[in-house]
Amino acid sequence: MAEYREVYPSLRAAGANLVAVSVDAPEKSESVRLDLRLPFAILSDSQRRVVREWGIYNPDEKGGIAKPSVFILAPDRTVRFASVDEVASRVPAAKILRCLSEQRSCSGADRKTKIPGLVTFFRAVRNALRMGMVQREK
Amino acid sequence: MTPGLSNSAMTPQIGQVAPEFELSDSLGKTRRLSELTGAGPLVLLFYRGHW
Repeated sequence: MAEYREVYPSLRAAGANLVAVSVDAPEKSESVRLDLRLPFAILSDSQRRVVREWGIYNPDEKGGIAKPSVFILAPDRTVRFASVDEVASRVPAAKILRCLSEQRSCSGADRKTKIPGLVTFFRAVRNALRMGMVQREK
Repeated sequence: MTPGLSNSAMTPQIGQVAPEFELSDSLGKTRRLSELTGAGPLVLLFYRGHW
C-alpha cells in the first residue's frame, strides 16, 4: 500500500480518488494509516459484507479477509478495471496510474515478466514485509 | 484461472456497475461508494489487513 502513497498526488492530479478497504476494525485501520503515512481514507468492512458481495472473500485466513484486489470505477460506478489476486497483489500502482490516463477500460493481465516465478515470489515477499506479515531480520 | 483477473461470478466485471455500499472509514465517518466516485474515477484498493 505504501506505493500508493507515492502515486496518490499524480492520481489526484489526474482527477481520480483512491480509498483502501480491509476487514480491519476502524481503530486498526487508523493506526495503519498513521504508521504508513497514507494520504487516503481506509474503509472498514469489518462484517465482511462488501468483500463477500464482491466475491473477493478469503475465508481461510485470520477469520476471513479480503483477497488483494484493485478496481477502477467510473463516476457512475461502472467498472473500468478489475484485478483480484489470491495472496499478494500483482498489480503495480504505476499500472493503475497508466490505466487512469486511458479514457476506456484497460486490461487486467500483465504478461511481460521474463521469469514469472521469481518476480511473483519476490513481489509476494515484498508485500508480506510491507503488510507486516514477516519481520525483517534485525 | 488467469492470475490477476477476477475469477468469481460475483465480482463486478468491466462494464458492469459496481453495487453501492456504505462503510465506516477509519475515523468513524460513514462513506458511500457513490459519493466517493462522484467527482471522477475511483481506485478501490482491497487489501488483506494487518495483524
